[in-house]
Amino acid sequence: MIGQLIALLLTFAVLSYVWRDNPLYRMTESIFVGVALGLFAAFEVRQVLLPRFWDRLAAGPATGAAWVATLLVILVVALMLARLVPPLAWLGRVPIAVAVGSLAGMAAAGFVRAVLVPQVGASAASLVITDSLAHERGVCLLESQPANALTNVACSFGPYLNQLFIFAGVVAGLVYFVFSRGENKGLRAVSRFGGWIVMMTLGVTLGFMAMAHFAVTIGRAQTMMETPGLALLALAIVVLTLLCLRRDPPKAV
Amino acid sequence: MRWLAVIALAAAIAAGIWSTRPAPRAGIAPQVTQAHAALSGLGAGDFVLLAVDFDPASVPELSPFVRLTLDIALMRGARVVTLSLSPHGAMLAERYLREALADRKGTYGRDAMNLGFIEGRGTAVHLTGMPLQRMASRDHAGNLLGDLPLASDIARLSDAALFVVASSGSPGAFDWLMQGQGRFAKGLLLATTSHEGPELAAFYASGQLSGLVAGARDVSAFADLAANDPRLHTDPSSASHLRGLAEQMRAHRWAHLALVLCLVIGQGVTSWRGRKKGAA
Amino acid sequence: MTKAGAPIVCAMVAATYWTLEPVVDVARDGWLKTFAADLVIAIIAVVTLVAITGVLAREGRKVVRRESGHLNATLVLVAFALTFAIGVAEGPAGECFVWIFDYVYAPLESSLLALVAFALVDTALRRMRARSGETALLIATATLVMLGRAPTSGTVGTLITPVADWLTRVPNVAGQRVLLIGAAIAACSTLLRLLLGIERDYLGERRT
Repeated sequence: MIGQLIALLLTFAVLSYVWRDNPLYRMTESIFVGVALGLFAAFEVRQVLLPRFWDRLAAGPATGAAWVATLLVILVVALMLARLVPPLAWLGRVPIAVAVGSLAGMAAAGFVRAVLVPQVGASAASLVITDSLAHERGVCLLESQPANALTNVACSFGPYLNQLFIFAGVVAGLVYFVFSRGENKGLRAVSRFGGWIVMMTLGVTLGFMAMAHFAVTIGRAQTMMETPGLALLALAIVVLTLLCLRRDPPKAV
Repeated sequence: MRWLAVIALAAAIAAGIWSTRPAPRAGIAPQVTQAHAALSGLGAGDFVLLAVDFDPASVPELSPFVRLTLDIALMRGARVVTLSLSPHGAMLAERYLREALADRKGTYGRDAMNLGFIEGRGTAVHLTGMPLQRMASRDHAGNLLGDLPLASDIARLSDAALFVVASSGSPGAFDWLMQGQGRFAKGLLLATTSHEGPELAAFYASGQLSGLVAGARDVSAFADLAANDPRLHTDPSSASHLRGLAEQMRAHRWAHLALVLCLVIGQGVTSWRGRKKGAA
Repeated sequence: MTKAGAPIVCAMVAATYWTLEPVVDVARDGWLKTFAADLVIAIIAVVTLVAITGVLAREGRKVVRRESGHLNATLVLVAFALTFAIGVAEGPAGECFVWIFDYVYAPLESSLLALVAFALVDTALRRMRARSGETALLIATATLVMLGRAPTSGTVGTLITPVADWLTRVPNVAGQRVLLIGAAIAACSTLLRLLLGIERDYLGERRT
């Protein structure tokens, strides 16, 4: 119960920012920064460095390749300390360069294999009548019971028209980004259509983003509703505290 | 802004209280049906890799899905290995795993285990293709993997029947998609907050996913499917437990409607006032 | 090899290994792959700790010099010290550490995000005016999607929900594919610049 009360106190202290910027909010923010840093640092030490490197190193050379690999890793990472010695500072860039190169290589390979090839392939496949279209037609007819001439036509052509729309949208979108100022009327028209597609995409993204943020708000409300008595007590304590504290400039935006 | 925030919170609370009425049953999207089929198709002898990569703020949207995944897998006799690409994900995974094992009377180390936080993001996904001992030597609680029977049965995590990823951003779904899909994961099922839903829709449309559950609406639909699936009603408590999770998500959907209406009406009022000022 | 060249060559070698690794994959179970993966993990872990130390040093300076905000800086340091000490002593599954996560970190993180998120959405939608056809299309799409994803019954649900679903499944997929293809090309371009030694921002050198 103490834990729940503390959680609610902290929640209301943060939400007090809605009224105005205040010392209680800033204190709570500082506590969060400290706890978050402590959490991440503790995990890096206890879950990453100790089991992955210290344990293996402590197991000794008898473990063979594992020990040698671990030692090499520690030596490379230790090069970062070279930055403290000016003549050797250039060595300190080696681990950073390795990390940047590795992550860039991994990202590029991942993007090509999991994004570029499948997405371009799926867009091109939009022009072909595939089994999945037949499946979509079946699902459409099932959901449109009772079937009539109109639903039959809609379900027969609807999925294929959608695929064509996607293909046209992808091409137009790429034209929009590459040729933002079209040289001729045709290209400008395609680019304009691409602009609409991008706007609709951004609209969908904004709508979904709003829903995600509503969920966070709903979550806080649900927490308050779990123990309404404690929530009211916490609210009362926070309000009293705010009244007692001096108001600091600047005011809330 | 302050009045809007107060009204929004009040609307969410009121909708939560009023939500004892069942929400209208929305049409269930095919990606959700596919996700449910993928999980319900698990059998004894399978194991599933569950990556819990969301933060505490996303708990309202994604925790019911994680609980359902754990429940469904354990009800079907499959074993579960959880891990996370972020520290808070590891803490949440441990909490849900212990709760699910207590509810389903499972044993930690035999039916499920939590490998905890694996640093490296995309690099961690690569490690799923390597022998398990190279990925981690201890679990989240610090137990040696060699002492856990489940760890002895698993050669490498890429042998999992399914990778299920519950993610709210970075690190998360994209790391698993880019490094794992088509290479280490036999099947990849993603559950995300509404934030990532639109982007991941393109990956579902290209056939790269075994299912996609994006946002509270899809999680609610998934919960309804699970609650009404007789294959999952293995004992008297399981049906009511699944229905309880479905009810929890229905409260969400009513609260969503209340907030959407607040925003749309607020936007309308602001535009009208702006036009009035302009005319004057 | 010059002092400037060594890090660049290291970056090139690392980038080449990880780019070719999925294609070649001979090091799947070998210690070369373990070494390469562990190296990246270790560097990220150490860099994270260095960054945390930097933040703490800045807060420490505020306390020592009694600058503005030194009381809050003290709170940061105390909260860090407690959490770190408990985390390292007990481990992530320890009772006190779990308590701190459940009753301090989680509610704070959720509440801060709720505050920020609400302000973002409120500002974005208040400031947006339908000044052109395209902006009007954006606002209309966002509104339809929001209404379509919430529970609606009767005629309203029958009209809005299919439109919202169509917007998500068709034009959104087209637009997202454009953005994803663009991002993929950008990633390949960055890799190429790295491999050719043109990209040097990570070394702190300005581009010529």
